[in-house]
Amino acid sequence: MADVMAGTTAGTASEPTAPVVAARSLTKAFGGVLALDAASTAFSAGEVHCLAGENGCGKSTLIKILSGVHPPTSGTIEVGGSSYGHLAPRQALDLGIEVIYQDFSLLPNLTAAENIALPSFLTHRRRFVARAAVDAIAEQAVARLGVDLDLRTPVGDLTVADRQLCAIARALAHDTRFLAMDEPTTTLTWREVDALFDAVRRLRDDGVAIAFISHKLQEVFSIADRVSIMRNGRIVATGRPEEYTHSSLTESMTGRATSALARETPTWRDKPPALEVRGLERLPLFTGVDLAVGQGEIVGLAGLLGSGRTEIAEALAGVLPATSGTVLVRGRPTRIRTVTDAVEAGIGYVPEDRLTQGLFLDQPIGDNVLATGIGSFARFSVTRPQRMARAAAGIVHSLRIKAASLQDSIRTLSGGNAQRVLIGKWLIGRPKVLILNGPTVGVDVGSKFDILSLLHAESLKGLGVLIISDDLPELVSTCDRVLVVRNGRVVSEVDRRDLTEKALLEAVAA
Amino acid sequence: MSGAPSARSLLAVMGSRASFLRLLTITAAIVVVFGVLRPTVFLSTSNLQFLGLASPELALLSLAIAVTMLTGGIDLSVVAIANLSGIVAGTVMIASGGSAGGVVAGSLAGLGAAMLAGAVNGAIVAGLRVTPILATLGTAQLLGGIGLVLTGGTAVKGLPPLFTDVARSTVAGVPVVFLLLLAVALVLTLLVSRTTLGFRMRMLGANPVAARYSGVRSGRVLVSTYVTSGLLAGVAGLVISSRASGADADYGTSYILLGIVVAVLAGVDPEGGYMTVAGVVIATLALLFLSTGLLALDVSSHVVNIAQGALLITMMVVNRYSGAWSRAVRERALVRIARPRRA
Repeated sequence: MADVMAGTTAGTASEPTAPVVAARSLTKAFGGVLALDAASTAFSAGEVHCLAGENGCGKSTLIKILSGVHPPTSGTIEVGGSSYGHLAPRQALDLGIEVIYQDFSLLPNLTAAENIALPSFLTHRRRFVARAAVDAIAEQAVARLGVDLDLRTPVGDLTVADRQLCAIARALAHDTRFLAMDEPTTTLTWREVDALFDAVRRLRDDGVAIAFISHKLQEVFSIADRVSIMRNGRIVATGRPEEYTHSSLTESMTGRATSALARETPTWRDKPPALEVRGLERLPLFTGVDLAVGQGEIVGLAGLLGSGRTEIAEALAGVLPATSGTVLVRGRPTRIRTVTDAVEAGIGYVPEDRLTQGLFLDQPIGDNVLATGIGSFARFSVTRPQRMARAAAGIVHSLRIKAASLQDSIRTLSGGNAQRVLIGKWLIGRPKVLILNGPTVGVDVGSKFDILSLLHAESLKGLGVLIISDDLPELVSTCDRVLVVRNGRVVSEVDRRDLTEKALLEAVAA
Repeated sequence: MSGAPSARSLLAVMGSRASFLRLLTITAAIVVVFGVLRPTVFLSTSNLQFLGLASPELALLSLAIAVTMLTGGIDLSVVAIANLSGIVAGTVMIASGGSAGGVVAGSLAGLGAAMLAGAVNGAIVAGLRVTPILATLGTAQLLGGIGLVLTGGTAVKGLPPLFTDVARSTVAGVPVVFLLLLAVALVLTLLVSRTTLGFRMRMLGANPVAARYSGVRSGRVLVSTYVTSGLLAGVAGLVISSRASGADADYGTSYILLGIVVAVLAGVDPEGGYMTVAGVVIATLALLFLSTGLLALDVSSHVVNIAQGALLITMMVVNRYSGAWSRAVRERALVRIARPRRA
């Protein structure tokens, strides 16, 4: 297959001849809405085709239908010229269709080599596993990808970026013709993203048709040969990235005009800061951390992965308490040894990993929203269902969470709505400080804008907000100032006046 | 969403899942089938009274297990706790000479011992972070041993008639112990669905990590859970010793497995996050209906075991696959609803 496509040059977006995989009027009703509405598109060999759009726009559904996870309600799937009403997952795999989901679906106890070689053992129906064969398959795939990966290490011990490369190598190991990547960069740092893009380009030049799902515009522009924009289950536009600008792309995705999150600094200087921290320490994670978040102020916390930024936040949230240091909430000294202490002091924490740390996936939306504040909806420990329902409905309504019923489980929600539930869970208890770790990770552009405006609106009411993020444009557009963390210390501060992406990047990477 | 009591909210308290409706259907089917096949025996007053007398202890033990399952745990020590409760209660009653005050004091002592045993379970699970299945297996062994030491290996006999009469008495033909079960079930339903403890137990079982990040004090919740479980087992112990006119450290070991069967049959999620009190009571009755029905047909008691096992496996298989099936039907219906609006 590689030979056939050898003539394809990078970046050609001329009308492709025969697509590797094509969707023909695919429709899917799912979870209460029409998730996909007569979507037609094609993925050609040697082309990176970006699917961009808000969460719930149907990107993931489209990929899941193409890979056989869901049968379509109507429409057909074309693979290599043949038409299918639906595909079984195994059948899709045999046809060379591979998807890398956000969790990579790797087996943590097995080594990288075993993970890479396993699917090709399955597709070739081999029952006995020979060590040498495993290594050979894995080495070949990694070499083709042009990356350096320790094949003997159990996948559980690899970094996120290496796991991602491992998942891509696995896809390569069994003649993948079509590779879909679902938001592959969400958990990667900038440098890791560059390495990933190199691997993706090499795959493309090898003749693989690539579907790249992303809502980060920067990525769409740097990797895509073709971009399709989806909205409400439909493909609303397809074209070459050069035909778009940042704002025209955003407008196509959201269906509404963009407006900057410009804000006047509303910090109430005459009041004690919402949060003041002095000399916070927990060795070896962080030491001598001083920071302050004014009432009505939004402060960013930037730093590379492993710099200690998450640990500082978790210490303030009581998850992994600090061993020494002073914490004042609105001027009142508080000791934070448990999460409950933090809750009682008025500190809310929206954790990094929404699915495992934040939400109760199979429990009703209403109960998720009330999980933290349940105590205030009870008299002598007896809960008051009417009040609970009213409060939950109120917060769901005011945060514009799209849900059919409070009784529905969180699983029925899109990423952006689930994140709003998580924020609502804290807002319902009226915290004085809200710390958010990666508040818009895995959230689409439209929802991202909504979530950031929501934080903006809450801060105007006096809430102190501390945002930890990898997303520099987000920090620049949202924060009043940004603190930079390195090696467990706050090393510098970028003030509103100097707050640009470039300045921030320099401060973080210095 | 208005909060007004509706059929939906009632069903949510009883058991919100489709598995609950299936359980009702199967129970009704068992009653109808045996009612038709052997009406004179199966529907006789004596059979129903036997059920009313035999079901409370199994139902209470199953509830004791189900409560811990709600938090994602399990309690294998419920039978040992029940026996200990009976032994302590009986010893105190005999020592106090069978007076009314002695019966009350003995019962309270038995329940107190049961709650203490539950607290020990909770401390080991929450404080020492031992897996519940191992922790309670250990305490089951420990408490069984303590029971043997207390009784010297023989049954506690000669309980005061005042106490043993409770199991024999009826109100309007219904055994008092069955009414006791209904009362306990009602209180437990309220505990699970209408208190902060019940809410937190459910959240802890659904996702312990998220519960921690939400400020749920898991230690407190777990200790309360195992104390509740112990109390339920203690009540079962009193029921058993009243009915059997004695207490024994070795009584009813098969109840542990049967209790787990009942809980799972009721649709309680062993992974945590869901339980139904009404479902457990009904599942107990279904299991006993099935066995007395088969015995009324004069089959061997081994066939009863086979039938109970088959019922459990059938329910699990049906629950597993019907979910996917009903989702597919719902989705297809939604397309039909969603389509015209867009046209």
